Amino acid sequence: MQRSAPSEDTFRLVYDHVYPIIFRIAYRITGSVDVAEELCQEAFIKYYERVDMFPDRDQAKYWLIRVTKNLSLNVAKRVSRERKAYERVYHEPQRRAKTGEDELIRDEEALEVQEALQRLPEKLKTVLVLKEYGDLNYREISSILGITEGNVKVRVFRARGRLMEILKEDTESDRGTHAT
Amino acid sequence: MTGVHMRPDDMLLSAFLDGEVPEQFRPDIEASIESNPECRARFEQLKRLRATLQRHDVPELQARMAESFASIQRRVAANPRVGAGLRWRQIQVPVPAIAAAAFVVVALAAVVVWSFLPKAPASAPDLLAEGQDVDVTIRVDDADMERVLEWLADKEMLGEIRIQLPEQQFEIVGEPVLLKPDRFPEDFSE
Repeated sequence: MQRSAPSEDTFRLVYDHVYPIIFRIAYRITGSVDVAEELCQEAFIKYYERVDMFPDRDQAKYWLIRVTKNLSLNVAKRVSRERKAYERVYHEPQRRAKTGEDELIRDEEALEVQEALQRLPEKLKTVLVLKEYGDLNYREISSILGITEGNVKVRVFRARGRLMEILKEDTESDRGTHAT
Repeated sequence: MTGVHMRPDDMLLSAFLDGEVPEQFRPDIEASIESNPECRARFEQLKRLRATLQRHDVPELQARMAESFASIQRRVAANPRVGAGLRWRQIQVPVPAIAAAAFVVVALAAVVVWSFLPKAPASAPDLLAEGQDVDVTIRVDDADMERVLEWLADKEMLGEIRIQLPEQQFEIVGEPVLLKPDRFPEDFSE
């Protein structure tokens, strides 16, 4: 006897709809396109194992976003620890290595924004990334993060305020560098 | 529109930008943004930040999507454990196993049904013979009583046996007496 397997069409539909969302989230949290791609594949393989567990596409989407967010934060924390260890040993800030991906991002502003995002505290960065790149409203974000909608509203606001400060500091710093 | 212009704080403007302000408050906020230069400047700042964040999409997203899909398929195919999830999750069950499973299910169902069926009342000697703690009122005749006492003597056990007689036909005389099986029926005659 054979039990019919869940349709691969379901997987494909969810993949087409959710992949761009979780890719943007992973990229904005980790700052690396290659890492984001790897994490998205990992998330979808986990989803592959339980594709018939979700009653609808939205539930699958929220689950995938949650998994990707957690994987991305783990990577971001590891990278941050490694960078700090490097700085302790060599007593100098580690410069971002020029990689193929950096060559792709030619717009200086894009890099600045990405680096400013990385400097946000984890809680603020996560909620802002979910808002700006996850295509989610406050209720959905609160459900994914397990916090109240009011808390989401406050964190989004604080994240924007902090991000504006960081970008402003960077701009002033650049002006100072060019002036000298 | 309430007619009273509010001065929305930055958090309210941030929520307004996200479309998260209740409908009834929106006209006031829109009016404030339009009429108050300071408020408008703060709102424009938030809009510029959003535009900056969203201006630069992930490079080559569509191409990477297709590559990733193919890669996921390869990884799933290479790992049977992962394959248990979708296309590869087909359960092969031999027919004898299905028959055995069906037999077990029917047998279990029969046991459950039997355990709930009403049963004929057991006699006191039978219950005692099964080693049960008997606390029931059972009508017995002389022959049963004899069996109970013989069994207790045989097993060297004691049983508390309360004998209720119809009060209309009998009256209580004397004090309760402890009957010993080995002295049955002499004591019983008392």
